[in-house]
Amino acid sequence: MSWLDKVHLRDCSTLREMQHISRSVLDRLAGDRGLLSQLVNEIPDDPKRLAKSRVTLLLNRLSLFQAADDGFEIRMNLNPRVDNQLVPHDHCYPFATRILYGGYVHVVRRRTNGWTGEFSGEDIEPAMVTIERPGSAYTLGHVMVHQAIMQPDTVTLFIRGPRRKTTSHAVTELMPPKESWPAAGGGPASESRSATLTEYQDMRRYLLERSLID
Amino acid sequence: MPSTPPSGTIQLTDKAVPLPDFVRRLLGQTRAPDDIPRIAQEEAADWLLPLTEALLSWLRERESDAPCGVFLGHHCAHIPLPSADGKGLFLRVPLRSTWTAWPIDTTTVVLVVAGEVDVEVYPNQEDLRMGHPQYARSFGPEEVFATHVGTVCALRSRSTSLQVLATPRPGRDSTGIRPLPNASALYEQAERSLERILDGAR
Repeated sequence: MSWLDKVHLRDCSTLREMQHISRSVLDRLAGDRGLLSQLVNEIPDDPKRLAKSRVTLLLNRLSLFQAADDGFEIRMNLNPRVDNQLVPHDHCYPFATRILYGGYVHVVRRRTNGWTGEFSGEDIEPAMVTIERPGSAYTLGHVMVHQAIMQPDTVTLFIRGPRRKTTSHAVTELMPPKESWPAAGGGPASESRSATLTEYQDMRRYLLERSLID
Repeated sequence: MPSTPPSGTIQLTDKAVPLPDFVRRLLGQTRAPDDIPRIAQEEAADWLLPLTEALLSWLRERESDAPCGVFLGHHCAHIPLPSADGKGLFLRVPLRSTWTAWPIDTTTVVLVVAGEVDVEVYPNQEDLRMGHPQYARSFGPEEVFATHVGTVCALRSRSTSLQVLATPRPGRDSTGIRPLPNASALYEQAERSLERILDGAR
């Protein structure tokens, strides 16, 4: 049990509410090195969180905490694939994030062909562009399109909010080539798959080397 | 589109306020989905004190009785600054800390010099009216953002905030603005804020 068990995001009706709650959660967790270390170190003992720790075409992630009501998940994102970052995409859920290490140029784009379904590069316009550095944080809704051009050693805390749609979308012509997608054990490449125990251990070592956990 | 600045009302010294070079790249970003400004992390730090010193120097050296072109808009006062390369450049000083819609009719880079600015982006005007953003972020000192034409956004500048706004061309958006004839108190307020930043850094 920790203070995280008392956090509820499922009932947030607006992104403004989610921003308010998640900002305080992210700030507190970023400053709670003991809890952060514990959440990373206990992943191998929790098959659910090990399965939710993933290797994706954009980056690796560790599943640090899953809310009992499934209203949110806290992740740690790391090892960005710098050659794959250009693809504009949206998410099935709102999320909030806080940069722990490294940084990136973040481009939020608005859609010009409506706010649901597929979009191409012709259907998006730049809206908000920021330079994200350690300590900065923001919240993004599920209808916005974005790109995070991360520097190689970037590590972030990430809160996935409640699911708002069934499918996410991306600009097909800028999707990274399949050769760059993660594969494991000779299996087919996929956009995202569970991390192996060895990959988890590599991620943990990466965080230790950057003094982000004990 | 930006309106033409009122002729003969803005007299600036020859000393241009220097901006970090990444501002040029942010202002030059096109709509192409693969056009991302390349900005190294080191560039994004350490611009606050040089900019503060330059602003303070300009404020102290300006002729106090010269017409200044200060205007009000979106609950903020905007002080025109001297620019080296034809950009529009303004020091924004909030008059009230309240949410206000900010129509973006030209690409604008905002450099936060002091205090905090909250920004929200909405899919459309109806969501703006209902207070349902799809992007929310607070910006503190030495943080920067660019907004592009057509973005539906609102901002709330804390009363302690000071921001430098850069646009590709001189002029200003013409929505809801009016001139501020006597701005001496505003200059003093800005000067005190800048002095506090430098005092804190010593």
